[in-house]
Amino acid sequence: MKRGSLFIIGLILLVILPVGSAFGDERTLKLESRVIESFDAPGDITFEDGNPVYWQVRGDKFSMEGYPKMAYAPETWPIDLFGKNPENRAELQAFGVNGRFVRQGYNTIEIIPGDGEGDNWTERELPLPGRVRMFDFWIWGSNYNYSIEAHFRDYMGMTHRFEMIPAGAGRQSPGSINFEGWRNMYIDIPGYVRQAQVHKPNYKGLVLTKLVLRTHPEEAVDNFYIYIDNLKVLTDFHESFYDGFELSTPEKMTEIWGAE
Amino acid sequence: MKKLILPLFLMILFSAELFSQATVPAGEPDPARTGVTTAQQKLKEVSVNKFEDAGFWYGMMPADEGIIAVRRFEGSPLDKEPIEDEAVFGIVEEDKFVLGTKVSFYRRGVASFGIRPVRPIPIEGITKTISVWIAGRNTNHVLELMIEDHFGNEAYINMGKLNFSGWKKITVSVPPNIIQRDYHYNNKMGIMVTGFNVQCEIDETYGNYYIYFDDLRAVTDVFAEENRDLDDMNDSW
Repeated sequence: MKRGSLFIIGLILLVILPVGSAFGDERTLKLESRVIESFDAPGDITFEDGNPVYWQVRGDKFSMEGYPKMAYAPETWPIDLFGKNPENRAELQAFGVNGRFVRQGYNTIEIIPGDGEGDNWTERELPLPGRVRMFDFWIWGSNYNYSIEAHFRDYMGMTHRFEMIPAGAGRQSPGSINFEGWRNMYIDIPGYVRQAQVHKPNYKGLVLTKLVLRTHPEEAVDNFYIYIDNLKVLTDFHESFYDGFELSTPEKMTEIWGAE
Repeated sequence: MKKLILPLFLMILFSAELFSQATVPAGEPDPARTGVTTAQQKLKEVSVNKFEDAGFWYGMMPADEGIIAVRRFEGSPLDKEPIEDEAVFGIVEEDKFVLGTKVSFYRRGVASFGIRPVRPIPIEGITKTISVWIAGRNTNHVLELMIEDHFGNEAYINMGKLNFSGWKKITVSVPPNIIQRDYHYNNKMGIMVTGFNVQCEIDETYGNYYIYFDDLRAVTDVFAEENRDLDDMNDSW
C-alpha cells in the first residue's frame, strides 16, 4: 500500500475515533419498561409523596345524570398479556367505564388520576418515570366507533395530546377503539416533547394528565362499556455523569440548602 | 422544636400545592407553570375583549369560497365566571352580547375564514394563557388564534377542533418559544391579539356554518409591570 493512502486512512481514523467517543456518552440508553398503573385495586400505586392514586371518570355536558360510572372488574385480565391462567389471578383487575350520553356528537369521557377519596378527590397529574419513549395500555373495545387519546404535560406547561395507536392495526385509524376485546394501544412519544432542559439537573419529567375517550357523532351512545388495564411506559433512565454530578441530586441539595 | 419545623413546612407546602391544582381542571393549561424563566410571577386574569360591539370586528373570507357575516347577539354562556379582580374592585362592565359569525359556503372545498378586530388588542404583561368562549356545532373545523408581539412577529396558536356542541371555554398556553420580551427594554413586552382563523374541515364545508364568540380573557404575569424602577428614564423622546 502506498504511503499516501495509509496517511489518508490514518487521517480518516483520526477524525472518526474521537467523534465516536465524544458522542458515546449521549447515546447511552438505559431503557426500562415500567407498569405505572396496573388497575389491580383503587389506590394501588402512589404519588411521590406517598398518597395513593385514585382514578375518576368525568363525562362532558351531555352525559346522562349519574354517568359515566367507574368500577374495578375483579379477576379480569387480557389473556395476551398475562396468559390464560396467571398465578395471581385473584388479584388481577381492570378499570371499567360505563358511559351514557343523551345526545350524539363528539362527546368525551375523561379518565383522570387524582388524590384523595370521595368528596376530597382532586385532580393530580401522574408523573411518569424517566424520559418516556413509548406509552401503552390495554383496552377492551366492543366495536363502538369511538377513539381514545392520552394527554401529557411537559415541564414548560405545554399540553401534548396523542391519539393511541392500536397495535397491529397500523396507523390508518389513530385512536380508534373500533375492535372487539382486549387490544394493546401505544404511542411513541415524539422527540419534540421536551423531557429535559439544558441546565442541570437536565431531567424534567413528563406528566400524564388524563385519558380521553371520544365518541363519534354517528355512533350510538345509549349505553357502552370500556375496560382499561396495565398502563405502561418504556422509558430511558440514563442520566449522563459529569464531575460534580452529586451537586444536582436532591439529597445533596437538601444537605446543603435545607429543605425547600 | 427543630424536628417539628420540617414536617410542618412540608404540610403547608403540600396543602398549597393541592389548592393550586384544585383550581385547574385536568389537563388544562396551568398559567403558573407555563414558560417559567424567572423566580417570581404575579399572575392576573384580565379581560381582553367581551365582544360587546360587532363594529370592532370584521369577518374575512376568500371571495370564491363563500360569504361571511358578523353581527352581535344578546346572550352569554351560563357557566362564565366573573373575573376575580373585577369583583374585588367593583368594576362593572357591560357584558350583554356575543359575537356571531355566519359563513355560507359556495361549494365544498379547502376553505378558511377569519374574524379580526379593527385594531390589534394588546394584553398587558407576559401572557401565559388565553381563553375564549366558543359555541361549537360539532364540526372538525380547527380554530386558530393570531397574535403579534411588539416587534411585528406574527404567530398562530392552534386552539383545537370545534368538535363540541354549545358553549365551551377553550384555553391555550402561549408557547414559551414565542418571545414576549426584549431584554433591552422593560416597557416593550407582551403580545397583541390580531384575530381568529378557522381552518375548515373539507367534508363539512357546505351550507351555512355558525360560530359564536364571547369573553376573550388572558392570564398574564404583570410582575415586571409592577416592578419597574421608579427613577428610570423614559426612552420616548
